[in-house]
Amino acid sequence: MLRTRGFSKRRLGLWAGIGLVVVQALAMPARAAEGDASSQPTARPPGYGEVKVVVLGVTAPFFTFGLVKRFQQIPGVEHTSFNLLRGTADILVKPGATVSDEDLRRAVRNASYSIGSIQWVAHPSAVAAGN
Amino acid sequence: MTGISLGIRRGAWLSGGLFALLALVLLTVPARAQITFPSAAPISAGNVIVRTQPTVTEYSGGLQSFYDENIVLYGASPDLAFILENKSIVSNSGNIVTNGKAAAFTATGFGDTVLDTRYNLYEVDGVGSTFRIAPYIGIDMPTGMDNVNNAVPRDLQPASGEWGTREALTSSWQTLFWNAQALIGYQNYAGSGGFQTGSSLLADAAFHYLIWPSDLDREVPSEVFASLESNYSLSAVDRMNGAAISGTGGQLWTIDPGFLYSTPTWGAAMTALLPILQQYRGPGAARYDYGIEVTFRYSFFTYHHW
Repeated sequence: MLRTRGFSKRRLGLWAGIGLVVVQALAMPARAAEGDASSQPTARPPGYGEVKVVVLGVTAPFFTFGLVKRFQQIPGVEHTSFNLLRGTADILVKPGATVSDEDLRRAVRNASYSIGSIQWVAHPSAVAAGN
Repeated sequence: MTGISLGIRRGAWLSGGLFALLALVLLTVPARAQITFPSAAPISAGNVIVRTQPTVTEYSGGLQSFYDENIVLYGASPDLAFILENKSIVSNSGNIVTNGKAAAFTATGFGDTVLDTRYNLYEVDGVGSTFRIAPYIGIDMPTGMDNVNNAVPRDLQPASGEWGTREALTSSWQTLFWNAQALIGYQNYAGSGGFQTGSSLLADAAFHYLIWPSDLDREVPSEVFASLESNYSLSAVDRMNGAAISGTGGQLWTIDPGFLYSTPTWGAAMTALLPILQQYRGPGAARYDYGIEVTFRYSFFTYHHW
């Protein structure tokens, strides 16, 4: 015979209440900081290149960690930020660096994601040539 | 780029059969109090995630169990990951009744270790979404203490002392605002010193819902998720010298609400384990009242990988 042992509604309600209070308490200071945390677009210093890479499959900040580290591993990459909603990595490249599309593709694949597109806003070599 | 762009890797021929299998997994739903089960979530090659999960469970009759499970995930390649799980400390305490006389007991020591290998078999990536299926196989190693207190039965020792295997299929469907995960698996044990843990069928499902922040159109520093997990196990009875041990085996189904705070490098979670169904084979089982699990995880990076 199958015997079930129901969890009383009262106890379930208590747990749900505790959960809500804790989540609200955690979220409140974070909400207050939300306005301040909005990142301003990074201004590109003179001579630096910039590339936007659309990366497919990234869904949360925790998963951006390995991806950003992979981009940072490429010689010449100065800074990387990731916009979750657009799935876009914004990468700042040092003057004179030779970062190729293949370097970027390899970084994305090693991070266990798929490449969407690569768009150079300013290539370091073109910037150096004054274009 | 227009709309959702799908980067479909691996043979599309796999999709029909695997989607059908996933549907079966979702219908089967829930597994054991092995909360926060291995998922098919991505891990970068060279990424190491260390997680510690102290868990307290209360049983009827005053039995209490505490253990701290430490988990190390390593991305060996973009598709291959190794997962090492070790119960660094297990402590069971309560009262044992012998000849009508109750005596307090404690059995504390090192638990066993499991090494899993997970392979990312199928993957569909979009902007802010990914669906993955990954089988994994694991080996249970008897690294723990299976006889720290002669006065208590083998079930209550910190470790089983047995070699074992487990095989599972896990899947994850993640988006920016919610994640769904499911696992179906099988565990069996080789037996040791006349004792044999019963084999188990495991079925888990989890749903995480983003509750903060609402604006993701920027570099997001952290997130808070509400989570609801369901864990179900169907086990054969444990045996001592071939004889069934009463009160072991059967079914346990828990529903586990909780929340999770996560940043790019670390995260913390708290989850309650609430039993909604438990049925054991024979009298004498300590019934599961509730459990509380806290999880801390930290991510770091090494450039060593395949």
